[in-house]
Amino acid sequence: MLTVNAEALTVSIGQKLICRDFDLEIRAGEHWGMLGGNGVGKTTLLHTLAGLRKPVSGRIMLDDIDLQDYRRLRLARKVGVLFQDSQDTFPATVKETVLAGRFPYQSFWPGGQREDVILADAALAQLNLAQMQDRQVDTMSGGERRRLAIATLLLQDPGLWLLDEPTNHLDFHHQIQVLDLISRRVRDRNGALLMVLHDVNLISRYCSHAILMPGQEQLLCGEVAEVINKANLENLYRHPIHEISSAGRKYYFPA
Amino acid sequence: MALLNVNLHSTPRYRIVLLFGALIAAAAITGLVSLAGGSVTVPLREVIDILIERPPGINSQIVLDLRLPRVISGFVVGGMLALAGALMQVLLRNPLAEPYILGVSGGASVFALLAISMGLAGVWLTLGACFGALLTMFMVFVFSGSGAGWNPLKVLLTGVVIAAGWGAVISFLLAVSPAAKLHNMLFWLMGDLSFSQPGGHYYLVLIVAVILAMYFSRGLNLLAVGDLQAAALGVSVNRLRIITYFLASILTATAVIQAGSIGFIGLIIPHAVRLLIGNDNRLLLPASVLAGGILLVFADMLARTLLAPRQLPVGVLTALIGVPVFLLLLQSTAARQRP
Repeated sequence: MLTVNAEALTVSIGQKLICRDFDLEIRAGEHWGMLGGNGVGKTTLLHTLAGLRKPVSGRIMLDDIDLQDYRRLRLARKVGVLFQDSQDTFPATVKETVLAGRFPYQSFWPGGQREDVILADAALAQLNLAQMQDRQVDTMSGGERRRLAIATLLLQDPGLWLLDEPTNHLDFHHQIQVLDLISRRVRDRNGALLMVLHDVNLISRYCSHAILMPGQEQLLCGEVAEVINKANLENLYRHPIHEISSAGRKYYFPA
Repeated sequence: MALLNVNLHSTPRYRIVLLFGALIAAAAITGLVSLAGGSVTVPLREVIDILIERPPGINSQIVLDLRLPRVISGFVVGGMLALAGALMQVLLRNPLAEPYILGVSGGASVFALLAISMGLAGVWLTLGACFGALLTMFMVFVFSGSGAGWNPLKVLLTGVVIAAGWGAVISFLLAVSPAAKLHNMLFWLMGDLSFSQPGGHYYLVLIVAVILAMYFSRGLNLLAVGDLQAAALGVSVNRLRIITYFLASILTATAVIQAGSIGFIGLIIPHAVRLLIGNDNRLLLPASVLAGGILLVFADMLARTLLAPRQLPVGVLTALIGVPVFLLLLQSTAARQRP
């Protein structure tokens, strides 16, 4: 059973405090959404939970072991991160890039290469990238690169999925396809997911829990039904919000 | 798509074997031709006999005592420079990076020139260069604050500034040196294999470095994508960067000590190899070593024979051969790369 426990977590970026003495428990099967204005520290908090930066104080326990005590390679088998952007000074092909997801499982000279290639082909096919496997990454569109990054994460096969704006650059069809795919994988593996999204309606569709970050070190956590409402969202974005009900669901739009 | 589209995952093993077979054959042929050519031409067949049977005689002496150490030195130095360049490019995430960009060669040159201007030679020259290279390596590391956290841009700027500083000192030394010593100094600066000391186990540095580089090559592949991405996939980023930095610097220092600052190989060979086989460091690094060695041995042979008995600085020839070859390669791949 996968559990993540943040205990008395204080995170800052430069001089700015993002959260102070923050407690959070994420259990297997839960899908968390993170909402907040630009520059409020969503990515920083996500990277801290991934063990990529150290908190100022407090600790994060993953399956009862402090994140800082994990060896990188072991951590990479448990926690996968989707980043907002990627660099390509020396671009690789699509196939090479997606296979990087197997890094935590490979020995020095990959032995299970054949199985890895089968996994890679399957992941590329699931994200409609099968035709592109020999393309250089820098010749792809934004949405294609986004799907490639998600395919890489499928190969990494982590228990805890930390996604920074997974639907960036994706059209409606691919947004739903990708989030369906990821939710199913997380459920099948009995893992957990935390994703930053700017679309409240996708969060209420895919998440069980949410973290709202209005700024000034405040964090509002809870089940989606409790924390996502008109008043909280207006406070979060400092902007009037319209609420519409349709087919038993509530939808929110900026006024 | 890379020209030959060789990568470990979508290419049959035999093509990789073929590629490295071709490079090794090219290295052997270049080596043999290089042993044959010079101010005295020794027929190829005789060169092979000499290598196998080691008979006594003047030709045997020329080949075994004069040319062989020089060919080996050329191959090792060329391989070191190309490997150091490829590592620096990934480490600094900058395609313009090359072995000398962080000032290691500048530092070595300053202290080598000081040794020359004091009338010292031989081992003192080597020690001076060695001291200058090590000093620079640690200066860049400390001034860029890389012990605490690595920032490629800060390392690059620190290195470039220190290199510029050494450049000024070199100009100063050249300006105040008597004409008699100037020729020697300029040759050292341009890089030349005739300084190479026989004996010395400098080639061990290359062997150890290639093994280490191959061991870390998969991590380096991920490092090229981004630090956080690499860390999230399980690479110990800081450790890998520090190891790569010192590996590249030590390779550069050893090459400079052995042959002065031979330009061009460290910048262009890795890119030429990238154009041919792509960016997978598992192939790129060993292929660069072979290609760098071949280019330097070939250039050195031309340097010895073109205006024989006069010798040209080998750095001039690496550039004269490399520039047109690289431009042609760039043209032919640029045309194919359009999706």
